[in-house]
Amino acid sequence: MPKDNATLHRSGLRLSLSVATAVLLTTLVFVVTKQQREQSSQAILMNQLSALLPKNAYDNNPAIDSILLNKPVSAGIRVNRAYLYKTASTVHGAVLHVTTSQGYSGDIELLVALSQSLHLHGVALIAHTETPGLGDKIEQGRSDWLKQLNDLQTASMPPSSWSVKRDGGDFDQITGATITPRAVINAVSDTISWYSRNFKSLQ
Amino acid sequence: MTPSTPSKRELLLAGLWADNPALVKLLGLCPLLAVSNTAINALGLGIATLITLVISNTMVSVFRHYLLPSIRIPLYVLVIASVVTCIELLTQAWLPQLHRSLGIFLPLIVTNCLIMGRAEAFASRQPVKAAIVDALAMGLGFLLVLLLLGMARELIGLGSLFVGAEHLLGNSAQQAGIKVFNAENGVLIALLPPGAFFILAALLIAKRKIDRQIDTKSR
Repeated sequence: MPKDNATLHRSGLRLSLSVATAVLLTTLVFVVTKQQREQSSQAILMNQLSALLPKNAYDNNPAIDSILLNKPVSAGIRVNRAYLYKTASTVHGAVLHVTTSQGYSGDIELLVALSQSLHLHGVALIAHTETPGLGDKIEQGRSDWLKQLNDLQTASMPPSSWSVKRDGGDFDQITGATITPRAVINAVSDTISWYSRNFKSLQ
Repeated sequence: MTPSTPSKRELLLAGLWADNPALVKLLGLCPLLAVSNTAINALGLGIATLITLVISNTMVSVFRHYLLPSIRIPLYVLVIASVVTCIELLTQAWLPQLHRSLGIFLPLIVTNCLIMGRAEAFASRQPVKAAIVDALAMGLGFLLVLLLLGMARELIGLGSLFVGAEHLLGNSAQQAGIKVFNAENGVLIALLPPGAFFILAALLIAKRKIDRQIDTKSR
Protein backbone atom coordinates (compact mmCIF):
# COMPACT_ATOMS: atom_id res chain seq x y z
CA MET A 1 0.00 0.00 0.00
CA PRO A 2 2.61 2.66 0.88
CA LYS A 3 4.46 1.82 -2.30
CA ASP A 4 1.30 2.45 -4.33
CA ASN A 5 0.86 5.74 -2.56
CA ALA A 6 4.37 6.79 -3.47
CA THR A 7 3.77 5.95 -7.16
CA LEU A 8 0.53 7.89 -7.04
CA HIS A 9 2.30 10.93 -5.61
CA ARG A 10 5.07 10.66 -8.15
CA SER A 11 2.61 10.41 -11.04
CA GLY A 12 0.61 13.36 -9.79
CA LEU A 13 3.70 15.46 -9.31
CA ARG A 14 5.09 14.66 -12.76
CA LEU A 15 1.77 15.27 -14.45
CA SER A 16 1.31 18.66 -12.76
CA LEU A 17 4.88 19.68 -13.54
CA SER A 18 4.44 18.74 -17.19
CA VAL A 19 1.15 20.59 -17.48
CA ALA A 20 2.69 23.69 -15.89
CA THR A 21 5.62 23.59 -18.35
CA ALA A 22 3.29 23.12 -21.32
CA VAL A 23 1.04 25.99 -20.24
CA LEU A 24 4.09 28.20 -19.75
CA LEU A 25 5.51 27.40 -23.19
CA THR A 26 2.25 27.84 -25.12
CA THR A 27 1.56 31.10 -23.28
CA LEU A 28 5.02 32.28 -24.26
CA VAL A 29 4.36 31.50 -27.94
CA PHE A 30 0.94 33.13 -27.66
CA VAL A 31 2.41 36.36 -26.28
CA VAL A 32 5.39 36.44 -28.66
CA THR A 33 3.23 35.97 -31.77
CA LYS A 34 0.41 38.25 -30.64
CA GLN A 35 1.53 41.39 -32.47
CA GLN A 36 2.40 39.54 -35.66
CA ARG A 37 -0.92 37.68 -35.64
CA GLU A 38 -2.87 40.90 -35.30
CA GLN A 39 -0.82 42.50 -38.06
CA SER A 40 -1.45 39.57 -40.37
CA SER A 41 -5.19 39.52 -39.89
CA GLN A 42 -5.27 43.31 -40.29
CA ALA A 43 -3.30 43.01 -43.52
CA ILE A 44 -5.71 40.43 -44.93
CA LEU A 45 -8.66 42.64 -43.98
CA MET A 46 -6.99 45.75 -45.41
CA ASN A 47 -6.36 43.92 -48.71
CA GLN A 48 -10.01 42.94 -48.94
CA LEU A 49 -11.20 46.46 -48.11
CA SER A 50 -8.85 48.23 -50.51
CA ALA A 51 -9.86 45.87 -53.32
CA LEU A 52 -13.48 46.98 -52.86
CA LEU A 53 -13.03 50.74 -52.45
CA PRO A 54 -11.97 53.17 -55.21
CA LYS A 55 -8.31 54.18 -54.80
CA ASN A 56 -8.70 57.85 -53.85
CA ALA A 57 -11.94 57.54 -51.93
CA TYR A 58 -10.36 57.47 -48.48
CA ASP A 59 -7.29 58.54 -46.56
CA ASN A 60 -7.89 56.69 -43.30
CA ASN A 61 -7.46 53.03 -42.40
CA PRO A 62 -10.98 51.57 -42.53
CA ALA A 63 -9.73 48.39 -40.87
CA ILE A 64 -9.13 50.43 -37.71
CA ASP A 65 -12.03 52.91 -38.03
CA SER A 66 -14.64 50.26 -37.53
CA ILE A 67 -17.82 49.99 -35.48
CA LEU A 68 -19.05 46.74 -33.97
CA LEU A 69 -22.75 46.47 -34.84
CA ASN A 70 -23.91 42.86 -34.57
CA LYS A 71 -27.45 43.81 -35.55
CA PRO A 72 -30.09 41.73 -37.32
CA VAL A 73 -31.09 43.24 -40.67
CA SER A 74 -33.83 40.77 -41.60
CA ALA A 75 -34.51 37.06 -41.15
CA GLY A 76 -31.16 35.25 -41.17
CA ILE A 77 -29.15 38.32 -42.19
CA ARG A 78 -26.91 40.18 -39.75
CA VAL A 79 -24.62 43.14 -40.16
CA ASN A 80 -21.65 42.47 -37.90
CA ARG A 81 -19.32 45.39 -38.39
CA ALA A 82 -18.98 48.61 -40.36
CA TYR A 83 -15.59 49.74 -41.67
CA LEU A 84 -15.86 53.47 -42.28
CA TYR A 85 -13.91 55.17 -45.03
CA LYS A 86 -13.15 58.85 -44.70
CA THR A 87 -11.22 61.72 -46.18
CA ALA A 88 -10.18 64.44 -43.76
CA SER A 89 -12.29 62.83 -41.03
CA THR A 90 -15.54 63.09 -43.03
CA VAL A 91 -17.27 59.73 -43.43
CA HIS A 92 -18.07 58.99 -47.09
CA GLY A 93 -19.43 55.53 -46.69
CA ALA A 94 -18.82 52.14 -45.16
CA VAL A 95 -17.89 48.59 -45.93
CA LEU A 96 -20.33 46.37 -44.08
CA HIS A 97 -19.46 42.88 -42.93
CA VAL A 98 -22.65 40.88 -43.39
CA THR A 99 -23.58 37.27 -42.62
CA THR A 100 -26.53 35.49 -44.18
CA SER A 101 -27.83 32.08 -43.21
CA GLN A 102 -30.11 31.85 -46.27
CA GLY A 103 -27.51 29.93 -48.29
CA TYR A 104 -27.59 26.26 -49.14
CA SER A 105 -25.31 25.16 -46.30
CA GLY A 106 -23.98 27.24 -43.46
CA ASP A 107 -23.38 30.96 -43.31
CA ILE A 108 -22.18 33.12 -46.19
CA GLU A 109 -20.00 36.05 -45.12
CA LEU A 110 -19.85 39.10 -47.35
CA LEU A 111 -18.29 42.55 -47.43
CA VAL A 112 -20.64 45.13 -48.96
CA ALA A 113 -19.06 48.50 -49.85
CA LEU A 114 -21.52 51.38 -49.99
CA SER A 115 -21.07 55.14 -50.36
CA GLN A 116 -23.13 57.73 -48.56
CA SER A 117 -25.27 58.22 -51.69
CA LEU A 118 -25.98 54.44 -51.86
CA HIS A 119 -23.49 53.77 -54.63
CA LEU A 120 -22.57 50.08 -54.34
CA HIS A 121 -18.81 49.91 -54.95
CA GLY A 122 -18.83 46.15 -54.90
CA VAL A 123 -19.31 42.98 -52.89
CA ALA A 124 -16.61 40.55 -51.75
CA LEU A 125 -17.10 37.03 -50.52
CA ILE A 126 -15.24 36.31 -47.28
CA ALA A 127 -16.33 32.81 -46.34
CA HIS A 128 -18.90 30.22 -47.33
CA THR A 129 -19.49 26.48 -47.30
CA GLU A 130 -21.64 26.20 -50.44
CA THR A 131 -21.38 23.16 -52.71
CA PRO A 132 -18.06 22.98 -54.59
CA GLY A 133 -18.57 23.32 -58.33
CA LEU A 134 -22.10 24.71 -58.02
CA GLY A 135 -22.74 27.26 -55.28
CA ASP A 136 -19.07 28.20 -55.08
CA LYS A 137 -19.35 30.01 -58.44
CA ILE A 138 -20.12 33.07 -56.31
CA GLU A 139 -16.38 33.11 -55.47
CA GLN A 140 -14.40 35.80 -57.28
CA GLY A 141 -11.85 33.30 -58.55
CA ARG A 142 -14.38 30.80 -59.90
CA SER A 143 -16.64 32.94 -62.05
CA ASP A 144 -17.51 36.58 -62.78
CA TRP A 145 -20.88 36.26 -61.11
CA LEU A 146 -20.08 38.55 -58.18
CA LYS A 147 -18.81 41.26 -60.56
CA GLN A 148 -22.35 42.18 -61.62
CA LEU A 149 -22.68 43.79 -58.18
CA ASN A 150 -19.80 46.20 -58.89
CA ASP A 151 -20.51 49.92 -59.31
CA LEU A 152 -24.28 50.03 -59.09
CA GLN A 153 -26.18 53.25 -58.43
CA THR A 154 -28.64 51.53 -56.15
CA ALA A 155 -30.62 54.65 -55.23
CA SER A 156 -32.18 54.62 -58.70
CA MET A 157 -32.97 50.90 -58.75
CA PRO A 158 -36.54 49.76 -58.06
CA PRO A 159 -36.87 47.14 -55.29
CA SER A 160 -38.18 44.61 -57.84
CA SER A 161 -34.78 44.48 -59.56
CA TRP A 162 -33.17 42.93 -56.46
CA SER A 163 -33.57 39.28 -57.35
CA VAL A 164 -32.22 36.88 -59.95
CA LYS A 165 -33.71 36.94 -63.47
CA ARG A 166 -35.62 33.71 -62.90
CA ASP A 167 -37.47 35.45 -60.04
CA GLY A 168 -38.13 38.54 -62.18
CA GLY A 169 -35.13 40.63 -61.13
CA ASP A 170 -32.03 42.06 -62.80
CA PHE A 171 -29.29 39.65 -61.78
CA ASP A 172 -27.88 36.57 -63.47
CA GLN A 173 -28.51 33.22 -61.86
CA ILE A 174 -26.10 30.30 -61.62
CA THR A 175 -27.01 27.07 -63.36
CA GLY A 176 -27.38 24.27 -60.83
CA ALA A 177 -27.41 26.57 -57.82
CA THR A 178 -30.67 28.34 -57.13
CA ILE A 179 -30.41 29.07 -53.44
CA THR A 180 -26.89 30.49 -53.20
CA PRO A 181 -27.26 33.45 -55.63
CA ARG A 182 -30.68 34.21 -54.18
CA ALA A 183 -29.15 34.37 -50.68
CA VAL A 184 -26.38 36.74 -51.79
CA ILE A 185 -28.68 39.10 -53.71
CA ASN A 186 -31.13 39.10 -50.80
CA ALA A 187 -28.39 39.84 -48.28
CA VAL A 188 -27.01 42.71 -50.36
CA SER A 189 -30.45 44.20 -51.00
CA ASP A 190 -31.52 44.02 -47.34
CA THR A 191 -28.16 45.42 -46.26
CA ILE A 192 -28.61 48.40 -48.56
CA SER A 193 -32.04 49.22 -47.18
CA TRP A 194 -30.78 48.81 -43.60
CA TYR A 195 -27.82 51.07 -44.44
CA SER A 196 -30.01 53.79 -45.98
CA ARG A 197 -32.06 53.88 -42.79
CA ASN A 198 -29.09 53.74 -40.40
CA PHE A 199 -26.22 55.53 -42.14
CA LYS A 200 -26.58 58.61 -39.91
CA SER A 201 -26.04 56.57 -36.78
CA LEU A 202 -22.79 55.18 -38.16
CA GLN A 203 -21.08 58.57 -38.45
CA MET B 1 11.16 -3.93 -22.10
CA THR B 2 13.30 -2.26 -24.76
CA PRO B 3 12.84 -4.02 -28.09
CA SER B 4 15.73 -3.95 -30.55
CA THR B 5 16.06 -0.73 -32.49
CA PRO B 6 15.45 -1.06 -36.25
CA SER B 7 18.02 0.43 -38.61
CA LYS B 8 17.49 3.75 -40.39
CA ARG B 9 16.93 1.96 -43.67
CA GLU B 10 14.26 -0.29 -42.19
CA LEU B 11 12.53 2.70 -40.59
CA LEU B 12 12.48 4.70 -43.82
CA LEU B 13 11.23 1.75 -45.83
CA ALA B 14 8.49 1.10 -43.26
CA GLY B 15 7.28 4.70 -43.17
CA LEU B 16 7.39 5.36 -46.89
CA TRP B 17 6.17 2.01 -48.17
CA ALA B 18 5.80 -1.20 -46.16
CA ASP B 19 3.99 0.30 -43.15
CA ASN B 20 2.85 3.54 -44.79
CA PRO B 21 0.51 5.26 -42.30
CA ALA B 22 -2.00 6.28 -44.97
CA LEU B 23 -1.86 3.33 -47.38
CA VAL B 24 -1.32 0.38 -45.04
CA LYS B 25 -2.41 1.45 -41.58
CA LEU B 26 -5.08 3.85 -42.89
CA LEU B 27 -4.40 6.22 -40.00
CA GLY B 28 -5.48 9.84 -39.97
CA LEU B 29 -8.11 9.40 -42.66
CA CYS B 30 -10.10 12.45 -41.55
CA PRO B 31 -7.50 15.05 -42.59
CA LEU B 32 -6.36 12.81 -45.43
CA LEU B 33 -9.77 12.92 -47.07
CA ALA B 34 -10.97 16.33 -45.93
CA VAL B 35 -8.01 18.57 -46.72
CA SER B 36 -6.75 16.90 -49.89
CA ASN B 37 -9.00 18.92 -52.21
CA THR B 38 -6.09 20.93 -53.59
CA ALA B 39 -2.38 20.13 -53.80
CA ILE B 40 -1.33 23.19 -51.79
CA ASN B 41 -3.77 22.50 -48.95
CA ALA B 42 -2.53 18.92 -48.87
CA LEU B 43 1.10 20.01 -48.83
CA GLY B 44 0.43 22.57 -46.08
CA LEU B 45 -1.31 20.08 -43.83
CA GLY B 46 1.23 17.38 -44.62
CA ILE B 47 4.12 19.61 -43.56
CA ALA B 48 2.28 20.70 -40.39
CA THR B 49 1.62 17.04 -39.52
CA LEU B 50 5.25 16.10 -40.23
CA ILE B 51 6.56 18.88 -37.96
CA THR B 52 4.13 17.94 -35.19
CA LEU B 53 5.11 14.29 -35.47
CA VAL B 54 8.86 15.01 -35.33
CA ILE B 55 8.56 17.28 -32.29
CA SER B 56 6.15 15.01 -30.40
CA ASN B 57 8.20 11.88 -31.14
CA THR B 58 11.40 13.65 -30.03
CA MET B 59 9.87 14.91 -26.79
CA VAL B 60 8.23 11.59 -25.93
CA SER B 61 11.50 9.76 -26.58
CA VAL B 62 13.61 12.24 -24.59
CA PHE B 63 11.30 11.94 -21.60
CA ARG B 64 10.52 8.23 -22.05
CA HIS B 65 12.00 7.29 -18.65
CA TYR B 66 10.04 10.06 -16.98
CA LEU B 67 6.72 8.79 -18.38
CA LEU B 68 5.21 6.54 -15.73
CA PRO B 69 2.88 3.97 -17.31
CA SER B 70 -0.21 5.35 -15.56
CA ILE B 71 0.23 8.90 -16.84
CA ARG B 72 1.77 8.29 -20.24
CA ILE B 73 -1.43 8.73 -22.30
CA PRO B 74 -2.40 12.13 -20.80
CA LEU B 75 1.20 13.23 -21.26
CA TYR B 76 1.17 12.29 -24.97
CA VAL B 77 -2.03 14.27 -25.36
CA LEU B 78 -0.46 17.20 -23.53
CA VAL B 79 2.69 17.19 -25.68
CA ILE B 80 0.78 16.84 -28.97
CA ALA B 81 -1.83 19.47 -28.06
CA SER B 82 0.85 21.97 -26.99
CA VAL B 83 2.90 21.45 -30.16
CA VAL B 84 -0.16 21.83 -32.39
CA THR B 85 -1.28 24.96 -30.53
CA CYS B 86 2.15 26.53 -31.06
CA ILE B 87 2.16 25.58 -34.75
CA GLU B 88 -1.30 27.06 -35.16
CA LEU B 89 -0.26 30.34 -33.54
CA LEU B 90 2.89 30.54 -35.68
CA THR B 91 0.98 29.79 -38.91
CA GLN B 92 -1.60 32.41 -38.01
CA ALA B 93 1.19 34.93 -37.53
CA TRP B 94 3.37 34.23 -40.55
CA LEU B 95 1.27 32.24 -43.05
CA PRO B 96 -2.18 33.80 -42.49
CA GLN B 97 -3.54 32.77 -45.91
CA LEU B 98 -2.64 29.13 -45.33
CA HIS B 99 -4.12 29.39 -41.84
CA ARG B 100 -7.38 30.54 -43.40
CA SER B 101 -7.56 27.81 -46.00
CA LEU B 102 -6.65 24.97 -43.60
CA GLY B 103 -9.19 26.28 -41.11
CA ILE B 104 -10.25 23.81 -38.46
CA PHE B 105 -8.01 21.02 -39.81
CA LEU B 106 -4.87 22.58 -38.38
CA PRO B 107 -5.99 22.31 -34.72
CA LEU B 108 -7.52 18.92 -35.59
CA ILE B 109 -4.00 17.51 -36.10
CA VAL B 110 -4.25 16.90 -32.36
CA THR B 111 -6.73 14.13 -33.06
CA ASN B 112 -4.66 12.50 -35.81
CA CYS B 113 -4.16 9.05 -34.37
CA LEU B 114 -0.98 8.65 -36.42
CA ILE B 115 0.86 11.00 -34.05
CA MET B 116 -0.47 9.39 -30.88
CA GLY B 117 0.16 5.97 -32.40
CA ARG B 118 3.85 6.67 -33.09
CA ALA B 119 4.31 8.13 -29.61
CA GLU B 120 2.92 5.01 -27.96
CA ALA B 121 4.18 2.32 -30.31
CA PHE B 122 7.62 3.70 -31.08
CA ALA B 123 8.92 6.86 -29.42
CA SER B 124 8.10 5.80 -25.86
CA ARG B 125 10.42 2.76 -26.09
CA GLN B 126 13.18 3.79 -28.51
CA PRO B 127 16.20 6.13 -28.34
CA VAL B 128 15.83 9.71 -29.56
CA LYS B 129 17.68 9.26 -32.87
CA ALA B 130 15.54 6.33 -33.96
CA ALA B 131 12.38 8.16 -32.83
CA ILE B 132 13.27 11.16 -35.02
CA VAL B 133 14.00 8.95 -38.05
CA ASP B 134 10.72 7.12 -37.45
CA ALA B 135 8.81 10.42 -37.25
CA LEU B 136 10.44 11.68 -40.45
CA ALA B 137 9.72 8.44 -42.31
CA MET B 138 6.11 8.14 -41.13
CA GLY B 139 5.46 11.88 -41.59
CA LEU B 140 6.92 11.82 -45.10
CA GLY B 141 4.92 8.72 -45.96
CA PHE B 142 1.75 10.49 -44.82
CA LEU B 143 2.71 13.74 -46.59
CA LEU B 144 3.43 12.00 -49.90
CA VAL B 145 0.09 10.17 -49.97
CA LEU B 146 -1.72 13.37 -48.93
CA LEU B 147 0.06 15.30 -51.69
CA LEU B 148 -0.64 12.62 -54.30
CA LEU B 149 -4.31 12.62 -53.34
CA GLY B 150 -4.42 16.44 -53.40
CA MET B 151 -2.74 16.62 -56.81
CA ALA B 152 -5.07 14.00 -58.29
CA ARG B 153 -8.18 15.70 -56.91
CA GLU B 154 -7.14 19.19 -57.98
CA LEU B 155 -6.16 17.99 -61.45
CA ILE B 156 -9.36 16.02 -62.05
CA GLY B 157 -11.70 18.43 -60.31
CA LEU B 158 -10.32 21.84 -61.20
CA GLY B 159 -7.92 21.16 -64.07
CA SER B 160 -5.06 22.84 -62.26
CA LEU B 161 -2.04 21.97 -60.12
CA PHE B 162 -0.53 23.87 -57.19
CA VAL B 163 -2.81 26.89 -57.61
CA GLY B 164 -2.49 29.10 -54.53
CA ALA B 165 1.16 28.22 -53.95
CA GLU B 166 1.78 31.79 -52.77
CA HIS B 167 -0.26 31.06 -49.61
CA LEU B 168 2.38 28.55 -48.59
CA LEU B 169 5.60 29.73 -50.22
CA GLY B 170 5.20 33.51 -50.35
CA ASN B 171 4.49 35.88 -53.23
CA SER B 172 7.42 34.66 -55.33
CA ALA B 173 5.46 31.45 -55.96
CA GLN B 174 2.48 33.26 -57.48
CA GLN B 175 3.26 31.80 -60.92
CA ALA B 176 3.86 28.25 -59.65
CA GLY B 177 0.27 27.17 -60.33
CA ILE B 178 -0.30 25.26 -63.56
CA LYS B 179 -3.55 25.47 -65.48
CA VAL B 180 -4.12 22.26 -67.44
CA PHE B 181 -7.71 22.80 -68.55
CA ASN B 182 -10.62 25.08 -67.71
CA ALA B 183 -12.19 24.50 -64.28
CA GLU B 184 -15.60 24.42 -66.00
CA ASN B 185 -14.70 21.03 -67.47
CA GLY B 186 -13.49 19.55 -64.19
CA VAL B 187 -15.05 16.40 -62.82
CA LEU B 188 -16.86 17.76 -59.80
CA ILE B 189 -16.97 14.52 -57.83
CA ALA B 190 -13.19 14.56 -57.37
CA LEU B 191 -13.54 17.65 -55.16
CA LEU B 192 -16.38 16.21 -53.08
CA PRO B 193 -15.82 13.71 -50.23
CA PRO B 194 -16.78 10.62 -52.31
CA GLY B 195 -14.06 11.52 -54.83
CA ALA B 196 -11.49 11.43 -52.06
CA PHE B 197 -12.55 7.87 -51.18
CA PHE B 198 -12.44 6.74 -54.83
CA ILE B 199 -8.96 8.14 -55.41
CA LEU B 200 -7.68 6.73 -52.11
CA ALA B 201 -9.09 3.37 -53.19
CA ALA B 202 -7.24 3.66 -56.51
CA LEU B 203 -4.01 4.38 -54.61
CA LEU B 204 -4.58 1.35 -52.34
CA ILE B 205 -5.12 -0.90 -55.37
CA ALA B 206 -2.00 0.46 -57.03
CA LYS B 207 0.08 -0.26 -53.93
CA ARG B 208 -1.23 -3.84 -53.64
CA LYS B 209 -0.54 -4.46 -57.33
CA ILE B 210 3.05 -3.23 -57.04
CA ASP B 211 3.55 -5.28 -53.87
CA ARG B 212 2.29 -8.40 -55.61
CA GLN B 213 4.56 -7.83 -58.59
CA ILE B 214 7.59 -7.43 -56.31
CA ASP B 215 6.50 -10.60 -54.53
CA THR B 216 6.26 -12.75 -57.67
CA LYS B 217 9.56 -11.43 -59.00
CA SER B 218 11.44 -12.34 -55.85
CA ARG B 219 10.07 -15.88 -55.89
